[in-house]
Amino acid sequence: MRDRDIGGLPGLDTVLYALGWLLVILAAAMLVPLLVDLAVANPDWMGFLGSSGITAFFGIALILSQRRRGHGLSLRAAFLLTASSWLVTGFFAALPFKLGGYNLSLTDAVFEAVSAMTTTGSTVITGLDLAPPGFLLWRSLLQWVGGIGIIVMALVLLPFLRIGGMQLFRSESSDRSEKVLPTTAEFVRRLVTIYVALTLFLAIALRLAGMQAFDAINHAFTSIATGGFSTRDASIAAFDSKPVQLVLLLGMLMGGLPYARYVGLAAGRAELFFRDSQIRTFLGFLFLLCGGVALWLMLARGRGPADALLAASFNLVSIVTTTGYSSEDYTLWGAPAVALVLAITVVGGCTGSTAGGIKIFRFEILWIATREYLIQLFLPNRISSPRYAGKPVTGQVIIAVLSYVFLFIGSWGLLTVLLGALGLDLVTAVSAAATTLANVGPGLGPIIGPSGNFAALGDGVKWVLLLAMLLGRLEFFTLLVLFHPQFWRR
Amino acid sequence: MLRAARTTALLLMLLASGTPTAVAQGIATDDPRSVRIIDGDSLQIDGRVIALAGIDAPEIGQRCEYDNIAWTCGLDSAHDLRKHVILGRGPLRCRVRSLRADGSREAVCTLGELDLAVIQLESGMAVATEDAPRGYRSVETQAREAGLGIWHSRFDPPAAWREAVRERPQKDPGCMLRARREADGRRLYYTLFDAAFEEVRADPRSIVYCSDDNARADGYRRPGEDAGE
Repeated sequence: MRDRDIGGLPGLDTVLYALGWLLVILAAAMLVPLLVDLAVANPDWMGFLGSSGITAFFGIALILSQRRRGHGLSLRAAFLLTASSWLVTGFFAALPFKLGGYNLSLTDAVFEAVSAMTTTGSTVITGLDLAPPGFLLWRSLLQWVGGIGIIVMALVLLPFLRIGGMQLFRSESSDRSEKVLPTTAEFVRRLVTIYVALTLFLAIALRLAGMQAFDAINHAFTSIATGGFSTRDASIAAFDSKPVQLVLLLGMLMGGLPYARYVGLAAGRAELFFRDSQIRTFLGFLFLLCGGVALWLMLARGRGPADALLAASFNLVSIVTTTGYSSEDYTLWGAPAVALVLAITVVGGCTGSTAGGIKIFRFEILWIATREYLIQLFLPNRISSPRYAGKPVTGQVIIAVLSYVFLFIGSWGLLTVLLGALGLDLVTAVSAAATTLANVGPGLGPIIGPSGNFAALGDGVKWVLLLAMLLGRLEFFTLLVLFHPQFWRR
Repeated sequence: MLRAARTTALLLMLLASGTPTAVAQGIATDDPRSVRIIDGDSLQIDGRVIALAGIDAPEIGQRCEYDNIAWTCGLDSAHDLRKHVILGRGPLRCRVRSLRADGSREAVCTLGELDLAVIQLESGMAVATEDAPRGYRSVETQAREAGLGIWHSRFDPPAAWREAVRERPQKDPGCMLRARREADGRRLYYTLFDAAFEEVRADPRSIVYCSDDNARADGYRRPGEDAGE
């Protein structure tokens, strides 16, 4: 059965149909903060009601306009659905920010929503400590949803709608993990279950660590999603609690590990988790990084061992996992620390996690490729078959990784120049480009550093940065294919 | 390194430009959490109220206009300063330049190597005063040209806004300053960052102020404030 074509692209009707359901789900999600605001008699509930109604209207309209059922998803349609789901839901998610009591400008509302959904965590909101609960919960909820990806929701929906698409998951994520369960639907079901379970665990742990229940729920959402939104202006520093920092540290680490391995753990395949090359590299890298910086803080800054270790671990893990929480302004550690922070901003977590950045897997592949090339220089006749996680590292894989890194670095450079042209100083421009492409959150310097925020920036800069967030979250190719003319031809 | 050198140069210029009545006094704390923020250019360390020298931030009740939205630039400026202080982790050191008529102290305050006034100027959340050193002005110019903070909006200069507000009754509930005469006769003013603010705000006897300068001009003082020199 052929997909019904619209405008030359096979399966566009499926895309619109799925988008409709995504909007309906988003509209339903808006009811959660609505109820919270109603419970405390905060008038913002009306903004959520209006936003939910508008979003549901468009969602239902899209659903009803596509009457076909039971068709497959072509490769191009899968790309289109992935990219459009982030773009469309990002804009509708901004409605409560625009229609609610904060009455943000259109730019600020879209920036905050996209930052939330891409789990970047850069914020334009000041005065979080006094913000209404529904507003805070919506920010956190968006990050939680974004963490697992609107795509996963589409994967959960697709079996119900009889639309298959493992290629969809692969097209959005850089995950190369092997399947551990027979069907996509079952895999995603387990994934969501684990995600919810980890979130609950963190919420309880944070409550036991001393956080108020509302703060604990919000930070459980944003830590497992490695998003980094807080209910306080001063981020985690505002809580002044070592137990809270330790729980969040665990949450960020959990969020930065590949979820397929959790599914394997739950299915009794623990050896896959402990033998995973990416996990070992990731944790080993963090161990060396945090240990080294802690030592430097002790020797150069005179800080006590426990204090230095916690400060280094919390803030550096936050950056590498692309969460973006801050327990202190680490840019005050000194110039070496600032340079290091900039470098690790783009590293990222494991593929198949909620983290952004270039990702550990790619560095491993590049290391393998570089090592092989080096050996070939003095042993040109040698025949080698490099492997990674038991699979051959083919030329296609290396090209894919190199292309990605090329695009990342090229985009970083271009964005820096563009932001400089828009008036930003060099430190702000370089770090803003890096932090949004890698979906980390805070940049460097007093304007957008850990003790600043993005409110001060002009509208043009904010639009550039939110597009960078989407580009990074969609790992470039998913968005860029849409700009190729051949993509739209029959 | 360059930034630290610039900050040091700015500090030296500012200190050298002090008036003949400059009071060579240091105020410091190793615990920035004990610092109470009053607005975007004023803070309280222990019993001393300090106005950051060389800058003027929008008053706590002041709004700036952008895209037909009157946003709370004064409040945002205060929140930004508070965030810098909390995350800075100390020590916070202030070098007093002069004593004002209302009992507050004009001072240069640093968090590590960073000048708090420069931080506010860099992010566009304050303007440089007429007597600010040239370095402060160049920082302000950079923020203005980049359209940062208040510079991408229309706003009244804080000094002019203060004067205009003094002329009319301050009833705007969005002004997060309340003053009242306490049971022991003390006349005190509270900001939204004070634990007692909500209680004072609910007190029908409390008076709304949109500027801490105006509250001080009317004789109100901060809780715990020293009588001054």
